[in-house]
Amino acid sequence: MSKPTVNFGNAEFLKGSGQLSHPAEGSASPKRLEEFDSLWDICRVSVRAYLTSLLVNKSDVEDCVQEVALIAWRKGPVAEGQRAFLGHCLASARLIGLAASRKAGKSRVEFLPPEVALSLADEVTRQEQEQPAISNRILALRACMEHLSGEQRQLLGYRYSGEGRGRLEATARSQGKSPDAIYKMLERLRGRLRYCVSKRMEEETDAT
Amino acid sequence: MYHPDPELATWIEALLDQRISQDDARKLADRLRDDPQAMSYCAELVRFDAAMQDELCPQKIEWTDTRRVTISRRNGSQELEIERNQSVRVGSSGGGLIDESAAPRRSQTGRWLGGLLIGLLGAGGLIFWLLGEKPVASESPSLRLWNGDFEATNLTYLAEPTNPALVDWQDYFVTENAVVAEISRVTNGKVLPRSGRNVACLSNFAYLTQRLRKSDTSSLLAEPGLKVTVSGWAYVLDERSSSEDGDEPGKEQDLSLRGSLRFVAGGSPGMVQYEVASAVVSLKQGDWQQFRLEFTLPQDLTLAPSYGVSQAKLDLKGKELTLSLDSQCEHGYQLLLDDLSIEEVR
Repeated sequence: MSKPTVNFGNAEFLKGSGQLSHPAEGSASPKRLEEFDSLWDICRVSVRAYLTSLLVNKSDVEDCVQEVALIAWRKGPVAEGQRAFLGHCLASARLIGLAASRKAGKSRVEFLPPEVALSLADEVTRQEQEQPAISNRILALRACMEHLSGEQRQLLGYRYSGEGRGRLEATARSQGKSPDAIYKMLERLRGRLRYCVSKRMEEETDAT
Repeated sequence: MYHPDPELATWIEALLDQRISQDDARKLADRLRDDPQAMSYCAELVRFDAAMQDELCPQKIEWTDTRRVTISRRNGSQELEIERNQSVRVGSSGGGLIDESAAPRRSQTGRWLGGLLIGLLGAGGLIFWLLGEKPVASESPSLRLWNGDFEATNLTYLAEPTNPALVDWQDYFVTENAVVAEISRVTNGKVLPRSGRNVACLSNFAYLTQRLRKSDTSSLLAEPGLKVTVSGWAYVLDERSSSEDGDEPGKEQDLSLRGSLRFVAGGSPGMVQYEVASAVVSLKQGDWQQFRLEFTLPQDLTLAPSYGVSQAKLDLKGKELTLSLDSQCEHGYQLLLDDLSIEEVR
């Protein structure tokens, strides 16, 4: 899995008589990084959801999320607020995701036909733009996960880590279960968590 | 509130776990096509899965800002050299420094080496400059096409996915039927560019023109026997198949791309052009195809104009050459071009 980096401005060479120059226009500052980080923190789950619907394959999704992040860092409308930034990120995700889908299509099995995957991605975009309070969702998810046992958390950790499938299958073997049984456990676990999160979100909405 | 049947929920979970069978994937796709509520539910599960991924395997952003300050004395005066390097890395761990816009994606090791090399070359160039010694060019300037990948115009943030601003490709003449296009947006993902995001899109016999220049921006001049090849990728798009309504392909047509090298003595309206070499390549409809146009200038370069009002012959030796790429695709077809390059054959 690649981890793209951006070296903005490459090296900036300054020549002078003792005073440090100000950073060149367009170069980064801690303030811009902070603003970007807070916006990306809000938008990255939306981007990931969009790309998951389009690509499904985890490593492809991960690569594309990173590419979107770099484009957002370079060109994202950081000063224009969350809505504009999210729109920019999702538009970039569409282009990057489609290109990745085309490349991956030749070497991987496509789970969903492209037009269905695109419709799904559009539906994800619609929902993300209608319900952008991702930080509340994450906080609710965090709270719900605290009620899980260590074993359950470990199982989820395996599923969402880089080497998910192998670890899950090894777990199944060590517990004398079939991989299908482990995936069924995961399905139930995620169902419980979804229910817990939606309940918490509803309570929060009622309280406000 | 929507209550999905257990089968649908299981298919979606299996899809997200990348273990859905072909048969179930087909059933799920049919269901998503036909049932908007199922589509909405599936989108909810996808979003939840993304939130889980983010929570359980978070991504970090790393910002590095370094400065190297060197103070030196030369001819009695103090010189201060400051090298500043900033980088942002997105990802869980590892990685290196690279300006993604300037270099292709490489392996992790390649990135480190690439970043290091860029840094060293930059520092080396600076030292030469500071010492007042100009680096000696090791090679003569080479012929190149400018904006051959059509990425000079960024259409990402524009509402329209096409734009007439074909940078470097409208020298002397402009045609309204040639545009730069973010083709995946134009065709709703049916056609993707060869690289990057943009392609040149020519319809109704449109053309591109570029004054030929070398890497040092000097012009390519006509010489007897000069050989030049232009290569690139072409895609003939049936306009009806790119629309929302129809995927029905059109019948086979005689479609081609004509290239020529010309000396433009006068632009429109008093246009006078002398064509010194030309080549035509036949194209097929459907997919990206590589093409190569070979031009050889005649030994006798005293020629009559090919286009325009004048009939006076002219010795074209030493005259500036312009490349013209003309779509000869019939109405109803668009010719897409991408990743064009040129080479002088010696």
